[in-house]
Amino acid sequence: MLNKDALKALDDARLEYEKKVADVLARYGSSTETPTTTSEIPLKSAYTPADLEGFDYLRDLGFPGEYPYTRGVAPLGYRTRAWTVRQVMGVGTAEETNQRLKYLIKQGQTGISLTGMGYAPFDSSDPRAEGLVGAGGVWIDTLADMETALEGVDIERISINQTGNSIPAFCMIIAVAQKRGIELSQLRGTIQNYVLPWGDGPELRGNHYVDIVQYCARNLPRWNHTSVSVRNTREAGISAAQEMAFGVFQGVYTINALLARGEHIDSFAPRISFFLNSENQFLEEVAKFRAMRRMWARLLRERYGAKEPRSWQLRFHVQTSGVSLTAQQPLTNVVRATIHALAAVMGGAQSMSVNAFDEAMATPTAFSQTLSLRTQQIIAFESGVTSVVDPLGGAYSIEFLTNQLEEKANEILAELETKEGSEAFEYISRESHEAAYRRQKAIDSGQQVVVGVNRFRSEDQADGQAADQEDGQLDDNVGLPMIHEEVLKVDPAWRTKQIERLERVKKERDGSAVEAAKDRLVAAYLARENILEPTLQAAKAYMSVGEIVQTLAQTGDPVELRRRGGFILRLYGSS
Amino acid sequence: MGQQNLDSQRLRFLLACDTSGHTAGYYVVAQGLRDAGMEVITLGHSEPAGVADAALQEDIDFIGYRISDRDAVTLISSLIAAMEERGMSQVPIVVGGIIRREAVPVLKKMGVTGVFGPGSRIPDIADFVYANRSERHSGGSS
Repeated sequence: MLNKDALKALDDARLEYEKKVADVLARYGSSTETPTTTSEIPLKSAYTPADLEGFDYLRDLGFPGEYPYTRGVAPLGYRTRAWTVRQVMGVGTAEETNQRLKYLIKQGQTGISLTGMGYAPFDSSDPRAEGLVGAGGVWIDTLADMETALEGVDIERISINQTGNSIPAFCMIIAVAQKRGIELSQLRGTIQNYVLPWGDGPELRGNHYVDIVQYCARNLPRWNHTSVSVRNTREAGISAAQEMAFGVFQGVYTINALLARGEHIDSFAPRISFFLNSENQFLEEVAKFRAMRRMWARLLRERYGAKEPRSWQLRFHVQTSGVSLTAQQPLTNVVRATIHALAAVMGGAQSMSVNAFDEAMATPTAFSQTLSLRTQQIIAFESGVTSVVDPLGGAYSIEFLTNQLEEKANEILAELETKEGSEAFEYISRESHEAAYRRQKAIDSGQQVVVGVNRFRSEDQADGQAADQEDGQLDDNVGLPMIHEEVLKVDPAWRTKQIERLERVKKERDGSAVEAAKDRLVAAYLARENILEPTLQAAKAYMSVGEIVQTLAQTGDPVELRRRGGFILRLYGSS
Repeated sequence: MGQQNLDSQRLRFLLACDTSGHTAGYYVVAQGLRDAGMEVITLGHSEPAGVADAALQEDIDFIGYRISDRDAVTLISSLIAAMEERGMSQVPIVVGGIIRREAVPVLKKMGVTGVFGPGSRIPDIADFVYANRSERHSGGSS
């Protein structure tokens, strides 16, 4: 804090500077519009202590590893533990995925993130699975597939993140661990789960998302049972402040449901984690991570009275932005993703997946994924940014943005909390659709610059593709060539192989165990008991994801099932 | 553009997607085509047969299929077959989303009118749809 005289001197100097700024702007005319962030914070050309009125270092920042954790949750930041390098992966059947996993681990990946599991509520043999098996993620029918996918992977050392919240797939992971004799109390991992407004009463009885949290809090104390996924909402086009507010709201909604079920805040809050995006506006993104950490810590301590410091700590995984990647000049995406990844590191991420440069074209190949992995390793081991914790902390602009974002996010949160649960979630979804449309219009009009798309196109350079140019999409302006032309293709043989595998499993499994598991599953479902344990038994009896979902779907009329939500509703990719 | 805004002349565009996730672009296209004066019927996640049924019931002029995860060639050949079964092969189809480059010429050969990948402009999609609309509306008022 500056004393009175110093502030006065600063104020005089600032007026002098602002006069100079006005002179310069007058000379440049209208070409110098005031830039604003995604959260509509107008940016000055320079920030000073005068922009941080009332700033109190110990109250607002503190030291790394100390409340309110603005500077990070670990006292030494990345010096003691680097973030987990966790590229999202899932390709083909369990066999292809297992090979790719082993390859990535060999290349230095320190965590795994599996996508695709349990997305489709039907078997690979179902006609709807045509063209879908192995596309956009790994196809898992039964526990046998999960065993294959994780074969030779040391899941005690390398934690698993499950993309999506399919309970059958989650139970298959637990079953693999149990079959290996691993103590569930020691198993680390994350499920991309958070509570949505379904179920009966304030405790949301029959809500499977709450079931997951409760089951993990009792049986898997080291598993992140909640991973508030606001990243995909951000991808739709909402602002950084909205990403913070919507994420915190979803976290709060999960907390309230668990409290209503009689759980103590400190029994589950330490395992709430967040899944965030890292986007283009570098300064705002760094401030976002810091502001969100402070906002969460204050909320958990002040509003919920949590006593356990771990309950106050916001920990997050980042997947760098996919929506800002381009299909044109695809190698430019390596540069974009590096900037996104650097913002996440400056913001203190616990875990990260850097999007591959071919993300806008197909499921990434081993080549593009390796490059993403190397991007993370270069930041971690070459750039030197990991030596100092929260290196941008104390920069006037960053602290100003951190304050502004926390304030804005708190305003949005307060507004959301005046709404009923389902109404609030509808509001979030409507906001994201509108934001996506606004962004597209800004890009179409050229107001928002996308290099290689609406500016700096390389139209003189042919891409060598023999495609028809008439409608001018996909085919044009790939001026910066891809070095690597190979884009992943869905192999129809994957489905054939998968169907054979499923049939073999069904023939070889114990039919009476399946029947017993079915009965137990149905009984628990109808009684609105926690669904996890019976689903685990069904998984261990080698029932498929499709069979488990179908068994439940046959218990009631569709309207009632729909109202109850949960994994019955799951098609794929909606979370 | 004037006559495109007359209600009786409004182009009826059916928009569907292959999976239920990652729908930001899907909603953007729907809104963009509405703003360009079309009647857009959003079907959400739907299988090819469902798309063809809806196209028949809703008296559709143009179909848009958003493909994110699934194999475009497999999905579109099913859609084309389903459209033929219902005697509706005259309805043009545009495809958008994550489509492999090699699939583009294959899709066009199969009869897909246009393919719009990431980076496409909404006004370009709208102009393309108006320029390639099926016979009955393209002749103006009758």
